[in-house]
Amino acid sequence: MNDVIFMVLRGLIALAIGLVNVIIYLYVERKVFADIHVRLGPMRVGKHGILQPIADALKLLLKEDIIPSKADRMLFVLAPVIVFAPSIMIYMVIPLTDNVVANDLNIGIFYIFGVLTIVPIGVLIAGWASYSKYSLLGGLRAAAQQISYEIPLLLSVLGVIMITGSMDLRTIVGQQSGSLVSIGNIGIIPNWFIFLQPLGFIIYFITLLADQFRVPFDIPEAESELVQGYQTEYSSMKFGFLQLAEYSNVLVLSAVGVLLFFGGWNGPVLPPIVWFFIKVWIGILVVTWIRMTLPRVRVDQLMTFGWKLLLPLTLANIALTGFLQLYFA
Amino acid sequence: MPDLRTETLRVNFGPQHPSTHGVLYLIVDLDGEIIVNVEPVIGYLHRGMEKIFEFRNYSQCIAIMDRSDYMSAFFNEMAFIYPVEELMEVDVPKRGEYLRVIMMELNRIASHLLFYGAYGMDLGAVTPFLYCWREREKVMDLFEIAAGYRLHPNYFRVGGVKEDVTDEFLEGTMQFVKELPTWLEEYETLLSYNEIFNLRTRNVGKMTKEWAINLGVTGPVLRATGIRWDLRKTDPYSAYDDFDFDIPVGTHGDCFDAYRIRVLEMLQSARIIEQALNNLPGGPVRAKTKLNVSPPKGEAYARIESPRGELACYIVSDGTQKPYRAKVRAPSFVNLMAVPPLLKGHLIADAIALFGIFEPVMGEVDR
Amino acid sequence: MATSEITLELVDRLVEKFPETVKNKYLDWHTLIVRREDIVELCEMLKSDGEFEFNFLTDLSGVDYLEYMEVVYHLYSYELQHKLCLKVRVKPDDLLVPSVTSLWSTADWHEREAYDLFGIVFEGHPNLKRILCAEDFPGHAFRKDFPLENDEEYLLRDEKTAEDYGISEDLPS
Repeated sequence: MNDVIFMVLRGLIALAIGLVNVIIYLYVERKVFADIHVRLGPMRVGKHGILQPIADALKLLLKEDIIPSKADRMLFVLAPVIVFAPSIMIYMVIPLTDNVVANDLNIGIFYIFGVLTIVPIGVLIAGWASYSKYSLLGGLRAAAQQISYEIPLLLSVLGVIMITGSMDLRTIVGQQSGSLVSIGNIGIIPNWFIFLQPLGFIIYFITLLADQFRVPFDIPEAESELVQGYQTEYSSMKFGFLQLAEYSNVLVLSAVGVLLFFGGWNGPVLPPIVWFFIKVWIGILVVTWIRMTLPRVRVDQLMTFGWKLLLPLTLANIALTGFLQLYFA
Repeated sequence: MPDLRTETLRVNFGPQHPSTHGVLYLIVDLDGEIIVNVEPVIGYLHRGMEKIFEFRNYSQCIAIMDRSDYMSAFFNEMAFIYPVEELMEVDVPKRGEYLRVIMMELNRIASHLLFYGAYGMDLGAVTPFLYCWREREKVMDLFEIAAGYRLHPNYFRVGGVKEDVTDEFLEGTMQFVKELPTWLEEYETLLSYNEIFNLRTRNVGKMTKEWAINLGVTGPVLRATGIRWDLRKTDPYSAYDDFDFDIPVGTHGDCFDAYRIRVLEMLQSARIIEQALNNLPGGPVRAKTKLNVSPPKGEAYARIESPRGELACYIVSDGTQKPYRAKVRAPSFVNLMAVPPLLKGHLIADAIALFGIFEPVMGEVDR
Repeated sequence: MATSEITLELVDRLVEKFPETVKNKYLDWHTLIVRREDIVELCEMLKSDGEFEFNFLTDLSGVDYLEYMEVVYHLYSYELQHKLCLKVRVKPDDLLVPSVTSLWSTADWHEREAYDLFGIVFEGHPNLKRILCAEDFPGHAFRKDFPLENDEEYLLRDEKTAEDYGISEDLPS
């Protein structure tokens, strides 16, 4: 019995840590946008608008919850949950340090990407159930995009798994300690997999943007074309969940990227957990920065890019990794 | 395998839609992502402006004309005044003409800046819009100093301009045109040299010269097809004969050319303003005309180069203080007509990029 | 290379060819008042003849002179840089004018506007329907006998459809 309570408690703590980060993400993104735009951003709610995410959440909660009269009610309500659930499920297996993890799974990566494939289904349901043409087009675009970019996303990670021979995230991070190049006792280049798998990381980063509909791949929600894509008909907290899911997924994928390519919690002087969050937040800031700078690509360019360039590149990366492993082994 | 049965999807773009720059309503038939047919429905902003002209005297008409193309009000005023002055054979003092040129070119810069920002927004880049707004604000402040109003200045009069400008305006304008090239450089790095932007605009919506002329397309889009046609040079009006400037033209007739021409035109406008400021003659700013303008019986047709194309006004006067008929040839109206046939076979995303370069201002389309 | 007027000889040649036309001039615009039967043939000649080459129809406007309606065409030539104005006059009880859309596609919306606001019917226009006013708008707004302010009589007539306000309608004068 105690075991069960302990497990539930650990899960809740992981959930809390994840959601707090998402809330901070909402605030930081608005402030960073404002800074890039040469304006102030939220300033009224709390000092420097620090309570703005809470005000936003309250506003969404108090809004009228509209379900279009011709919508498929059950699916319409279910879709935001399906979209949001996977990212919560992933919180449970992400290790923050060597011994802080809600549920230590020895096939962590496999689980993460397996769970992430549920998201397109939710998006497609949302688009279909809304009974709106913009939603339908947006949902179709979203599903097509996520399905075609999940393949290179998975394959780009494969290189790391080949090097470590493990799908356990703690083992992968453990193998990234120490330094790759060092002069005497002082390490100059850390033993992170980004230096062993540069191509893998670049592809991982691009597919991360595409998979989570971040600019320049925000085609399903292209405001100037499809209003808000599959989210068009949603309001109130259902809309909040769909938005939250996206932010949460970016957070999750940033964390996975840090674990796989940037040595996780490895780092000098500061405690491991601080190192982990510093790296995750740098990843998020880069995504935010890109979002504000680049225009949007076209849907056919996106598909061409994914299938004709990224997929062959990932395959080549795997082949190269295998070849080098054989050569050096 | 038997052929799959597919249906076209009819989507209503507008009248309220984030990308249509106003109340434009498009009925679009889609085959997947590809546009099969487009039918624009306009008239949501129709105020019967030309009818109202017939019931107001000429000075009141100028104020109404401001509201036509609300992004470039000075051009509207000029387009209305120009045929009236032709009819009355007024000799506008040199200083008045120079001030008009300065105002119009400042307005062209403001209008093109807005285009630049809105076009980036159409293609998904949010930041350029806010940068442009910052610079456009400076132009608006200059208008406020000179005319007292920002968007609808009501500054031009038959025979000149309302009143002389202050030194503050002249200094501010000089500083503005001096700074403009640096800003434009910054903007160009944001969009013009961006790989994705180039992918989205180059070779999209190619237009040929014959096609553009046949459909009556004018302005930057016409110049993008390679025709060196700018009324400031080919049919000079006001004081444009006195200034030295170039007309940028494109070679491919695609979206990128039409976009780039506007950026280059801003630099040329700055050049004109600088020359005008340096050679600003003294003297009165307004010819002595009767307070109640009443042109002789007759008709006049005159055209000017607005930021969107050829803006013309056909005025029939019956000798009274009110025009008998005033017809505005609105460039947005004519340009918008050219878009639907161009869109067929393009993707939705291209449609937005294509609509952007025609830059229809609905106030002018519907009048 | 400023736009020049079309030379007088060319105008005279046109008048010779179409003897019913009347030569006129306002400011720097040579104007021809053409019979409506001649307008398409004349425009075809203006567009294709190497001496005229009017490839650009810049404006087409309707004017209501009460005893007759006028359609005014302003033509330009990008190649030869000259200009010409054409006018067609029709009686208010017979507002038929041949369409020039087959020659200049740009005439499409201009003609629709003239139809919408003046009720001039352009024969041969592919899609002649209202453009600026709503489909069920009563009457033609820019005619001189159409009141500027809301008129009781016009408000009451709202229930009728567009077809009821065809061309032979009896507008209050």
